[in-house]
Amino acid sequence: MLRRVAIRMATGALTLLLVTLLVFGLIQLAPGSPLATSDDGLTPLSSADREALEAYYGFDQPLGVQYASWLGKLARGDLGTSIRDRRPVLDKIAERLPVTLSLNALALFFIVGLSVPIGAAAALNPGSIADRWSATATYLLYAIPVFWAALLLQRLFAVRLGWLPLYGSGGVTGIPRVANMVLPVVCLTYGGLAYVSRFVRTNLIESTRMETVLSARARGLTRFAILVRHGFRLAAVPMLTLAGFLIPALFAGSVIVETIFQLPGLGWLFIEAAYQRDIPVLLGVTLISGAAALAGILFADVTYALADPRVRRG
Amino acid sequence: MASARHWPAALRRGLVLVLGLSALAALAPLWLDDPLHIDLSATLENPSAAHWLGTDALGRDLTSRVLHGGRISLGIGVLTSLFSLAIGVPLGAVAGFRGGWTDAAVSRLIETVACVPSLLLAIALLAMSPAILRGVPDVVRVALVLGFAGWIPVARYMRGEFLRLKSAVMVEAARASGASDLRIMVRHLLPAALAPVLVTASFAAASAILVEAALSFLGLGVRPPQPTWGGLLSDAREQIAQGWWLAVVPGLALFAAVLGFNLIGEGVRDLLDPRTCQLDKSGGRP
Amino acid sequence: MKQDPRRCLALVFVCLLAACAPAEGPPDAGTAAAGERVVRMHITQDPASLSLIGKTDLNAEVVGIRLTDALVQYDEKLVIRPLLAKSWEFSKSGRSITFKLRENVRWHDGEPVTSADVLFTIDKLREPETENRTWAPDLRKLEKLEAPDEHTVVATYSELKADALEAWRTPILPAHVAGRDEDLFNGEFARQPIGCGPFKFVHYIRGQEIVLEANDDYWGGRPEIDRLEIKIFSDQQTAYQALMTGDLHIMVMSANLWQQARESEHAERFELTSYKRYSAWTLGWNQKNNPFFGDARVRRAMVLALDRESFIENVANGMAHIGATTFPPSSAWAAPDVEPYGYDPDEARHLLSAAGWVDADGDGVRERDGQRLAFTLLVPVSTQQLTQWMADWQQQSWAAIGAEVTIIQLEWQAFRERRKERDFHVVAQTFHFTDPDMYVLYHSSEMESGYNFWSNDDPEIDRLLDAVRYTFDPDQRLAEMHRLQRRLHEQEPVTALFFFDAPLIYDKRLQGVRPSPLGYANTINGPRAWRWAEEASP
Repeated sequence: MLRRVAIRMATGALTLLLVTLLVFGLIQLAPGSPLATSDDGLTPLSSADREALEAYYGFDQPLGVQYASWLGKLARGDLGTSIRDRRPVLDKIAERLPVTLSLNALALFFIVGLSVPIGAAAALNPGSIADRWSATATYLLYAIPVFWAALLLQRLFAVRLGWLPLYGSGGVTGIPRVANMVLPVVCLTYGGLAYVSRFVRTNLIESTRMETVLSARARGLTRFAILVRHGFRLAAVPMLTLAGFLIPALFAGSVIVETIFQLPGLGWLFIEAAYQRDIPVLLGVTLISGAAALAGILFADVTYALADPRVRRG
Repeated sequence: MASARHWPAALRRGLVLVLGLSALAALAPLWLDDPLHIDLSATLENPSAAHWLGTDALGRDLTSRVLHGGRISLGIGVLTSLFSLAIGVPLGAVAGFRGGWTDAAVSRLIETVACVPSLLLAIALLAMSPAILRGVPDVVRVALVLGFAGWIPVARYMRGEFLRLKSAVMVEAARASGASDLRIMVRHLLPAALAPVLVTASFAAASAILVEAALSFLGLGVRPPQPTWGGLLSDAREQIAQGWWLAVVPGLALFAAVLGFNLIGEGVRDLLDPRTCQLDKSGGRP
Repeated sequence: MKQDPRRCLALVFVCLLAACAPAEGPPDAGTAAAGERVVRMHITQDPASLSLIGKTDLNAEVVGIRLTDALVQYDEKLVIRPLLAKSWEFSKSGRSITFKLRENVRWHDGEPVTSADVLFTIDKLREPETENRTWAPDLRKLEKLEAPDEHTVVATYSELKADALEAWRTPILPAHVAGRDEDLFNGEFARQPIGCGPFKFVHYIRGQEIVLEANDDYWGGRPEIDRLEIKIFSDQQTAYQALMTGDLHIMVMSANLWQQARESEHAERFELTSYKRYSAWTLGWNQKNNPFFGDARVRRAMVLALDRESFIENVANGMAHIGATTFPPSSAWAAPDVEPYGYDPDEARHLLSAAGWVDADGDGVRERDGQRLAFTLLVPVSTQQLTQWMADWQQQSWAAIGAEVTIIQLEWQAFRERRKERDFHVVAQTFHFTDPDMYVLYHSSEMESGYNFWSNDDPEIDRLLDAVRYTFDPDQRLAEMHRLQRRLHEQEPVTALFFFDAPLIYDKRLQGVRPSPLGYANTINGPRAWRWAEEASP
C-alpha cells in the first residue's frame, strides 16, 4: 500500500513539473513580452536600455536556460522575483494564500455540510416529495452561471439593501472580514450542492442495501438509525474521494469569484500576472495550485484504493 | 427505445428548453430588429411596446440582442462539445479499454492538462489563435480553443465507461473468436458506449456555454459587436444601478440553456441505465 | 474507518482557518486621534514600490509629490513653478540649465538638502534597472550633470527641448539614505521613505492604505491638515461606498456613477463637479499599408460621419467634449480658430466620392478599382464598456457612408504587439498629454520604431513639430503651435474624438481642492493646500 502511495507521489511530482513546463511554454507563445510593463508610454525603451533590462531579468538567455534556472532556484526554495514590483514571488503568494484558502475551505465546508443532510434526507425516502424537490432545487442552482449570480446578489444585497459590502476584502490583511466573504462563499458553494448531494444520496442508498445493513434491518433498527450508524460509515470513503476531486474544481472556480468580488487571493493574482506576462508569478502560482490539485487527486486515489479490497491487499 | 411519452421527465423538459431556445434563436433574424442597430436617441429605455425588453446603453433592442446572442452562445456550446468529443472520446476509450501503459500515459496526460489552470490555457490560446487561425470564423475559432481546453471530463468519463464495458461478456466472446482490439472497440463497444457519449456531449455543451460566457464576460470571447450572453452581462455590470433588465434577461437565457443541456444529459443517462445513477470515480459531470 | 468522516473534515477546516489567522498588523491605525484633521483619498493600485522613482506611475506620483519635493512642479494650469529650485537659467548657448536650490531645506530626518542629492537621484533615475518611464526618457539627452556648490546644479544637454523642465518634476531622494541601498525596490528606503516634502511617511499596509502626516518643519509652511490617508481601492464601486460612509472624502468616478451619486439621497453632503482632462480617445489612420487612408479626404470623411455630440450626450452623460486635433481644446495651447469637424454625413459621402470611392454595385459598400472600402478597427479590451461601445458606434456610423468595418478587439498585450508591428488599418486608443510636444506622434523620424504608428509623413508637419519642440520664446512657440494645429486639422493623421472630463465628487466641507488636467492631487497644490471648513473635521 505504502509503495503505491510513494509511486503515486513520485509521478505526481513529475506531472507537476510538466505542468510548469507547459505553462512556461504557453506564456512564451502568447503575444506580448514581460518587459511590456516597462515599455509603456510615449517614448519606447531605447535599445540600450532594453538590452540592459533583458540581461537584468535573464530574458536574453535561450528559453531552455531560463526554465532550467527557474528550476534551479526552485530547488533552493526560491520562487523568483515578480517583474511587476520586484518583490519575491513567495511573499506575494504568502500574502494572498489566506484569502484563497479560507474562501475554498469555507466553500468546501458548506458544500459538504449542506449536501450531507440534503442527500441523507433524500436517501431516507427515495422517490418521495422531499427527494424530488431537493433534486430539482439543487439542479436548478447548478445551472446558474457564477457571474450572473454574483451580479444579481450584489445588486440585491449590496446596492439595493446595503446589507453587505460590494467588493473587496474589507480593509484587513489575511482573511477578509466575514461580511465580505458571505457573497463570494455563496457563489462558490451553490454550484457544488447538486452534485455532492446527489452523490451522497446515491451512496447512502447503495450502502443501505448491503448485507450488513440488511441484517441490521432484520434486527429491527429504524431506517434512520441504519443510515446514521452504518450508512455514513460505508459512504465515508467515496465521499472523501469526492472531496479530493472537489478541491481542484473549487480552486478553478475561485479564480472567477475572486476576480468578480475583488478579493486579493491567488486566483486574482494569477489573472493579473497573466495579463502582465509576469512569468515568475505565473509559474509560482501554477506550482501552488497545481500542487493543491494534485494533492486532491492523490487523496482521492488513495481513499479509493483503501475502499477497494483488491487494491488494498496488493 | 420506448416512445417519447415514456422518456424520463428530465429528458423531455431538457429537450423542450434547448429546442425551444434554439428555435427562437434560429428564427430571430426573421422577426426581430437588427441587434446591432444603434439608436442614440433611445438609450437605456425600460421595456415597452416598441422594445419588449428595453434597450441597452447604445439604444439597441435587448430582445433582439439576447436571441441573436443565443445563436452564438448555443452554436459555440454545440461546436465545442463536438470538438471535446473528438479529442476526448478516442483518448478515453483507448485508455479505458487497453489499460496498462496506454492507460498510464493517457492518465498522466489528463492529469497534467487538468492541473494547468484552465483559464490561463484559454486566455493564452485565445490570444494566440487570431494569428494561427486567421480566416477562420470567430465562432469556430473560439469553439476550437474551448474544445481543446475542455476535453478532460469527456476523456475521464469515457475511460470509466470503457473500463466497465471491458469486462462485459460479449467482449470475452469476441476475443475468443480472435477479433482485434480496434474491431472490438468499434463494432461491439461503441454502440453500447453511444449512450454515455450522448450524456457526456450534453454536459460538455452545458459546460462550454458557461465557459464561453465567462470568457465573454472578461472580454476574451467572440469579437464585438456580435452580442453574446456573457458579453451582454458584462455590459450590464456598468449599469448595475439602472437597467435591471440588462442583467436579468441574458442571465436567464444562459440559465435556461445550461439547465436544458444538463437535463438532457441526465435524462439520457436515466433512460439507458434504469438503476439510479452509478456515479463512479471518474465523474462525468464537469 | 471508525471515526465519523464529517468530524474529521470539520477538524481539518478548523485547523486550516486557525493557521490562516490575520497577521498582526500595526495597531488600529485607521482611526485618527481626536481633533486630528484627516483627509482620505484613494488610488487604484499599489505603487510598484515606494522608492518614489522606481517603476513610477500616476499612483506612485501621488505619493511622491507629497513626500518629497522636486526641483520644479506643475500648478493647476500646468505652468512650471519653482519648488526646490528657487530659480533657474538657461545658458546662452541654449544647451544647459543652471538651477539654484533653495537653502535651509531639510530632509525629514533633519539633514540638509544639497545638490549632491539631486545628482544622486538623477543618476539613479537613468539606470535602466530603475525602470523609470515617467521622467527618465526625457533625460536621455542629458550629457553632463554638475554641482559646482551645495546649492547649484548645472545640467548640460546634447539637445535641449523647450519642455526640458518637465523631466525635473522627478522627486528628489536623500542620497545619504537611499544611497545605502543596493536594491532600490526592496531596500530600507522603499520601506521607510523619507523626503523633504510637506508630508512625512507614517506607514504602508499593502493593498489598503498609505498614511502620511504633516511635516511641521516644511519650508513652504505646514499643511493645514494633520494626516493624509491614501486608501487603495481597485474598484470604483467600493470607493463610492466608502465615500458614502465617510471612509473617503474625495474621488474621481465614471460618468455613470456620477449620475448615480447626483440622484442619491446623500447628494447634498457633496460637491459634485468635473474637470477637464488632457486625455483624448483617438483614432490613428494607417497611411501606409492600405489603399484607404493615404488620402486626407478619406480620413476627414470618416470623422464627419461620426455624430460625436449625440454620443457625448446620450452615452457619456455629457461628460466629454470634442477635439479638433490632439491639442486639448481646454488647454492654453489650443488654437482658437481651429474648429472641430462636426457631424455631416453628406459632406462625408461627397468627400469619399471625390476620392474615387463609389458604390457601383449597390451593395452598400463603396469600391474603387475593384477594391472594397472594407477595413479593420483595432481596439484594446478594456474594463470600461465605453471602449467597446465607441467601436460599435463607429462601425455603424461608417456603414452609413458606405464603409464596411470589422472590429478587432485584442487583449492589451496582443494589442500593443499588433500596433507596434503597424498591423492595423485604424487603431483606437487613449493618450494623455502633459505638454504640447507632439513630436513622437507625428514626426516622420518616428515612423519606424517610434510612436508614429500611422506612418504620418508630412514635411510641413515635421517642420512645425521641430519648431514647437525647440522654440523657447513663449509667444513665438504659441504661434508655431497654432500653425501646427491648422495643418494637423487639414491632414487629420490622428483624430482626437473625445476629451473626457473627469467627474469629481468630494465632501462639501473640504476646501482648497483645485483639480488640474493631471488630476486633483498631482500638482504643486493638492493635499498640501486642503483644509477643513471652520475646523469641522469629521
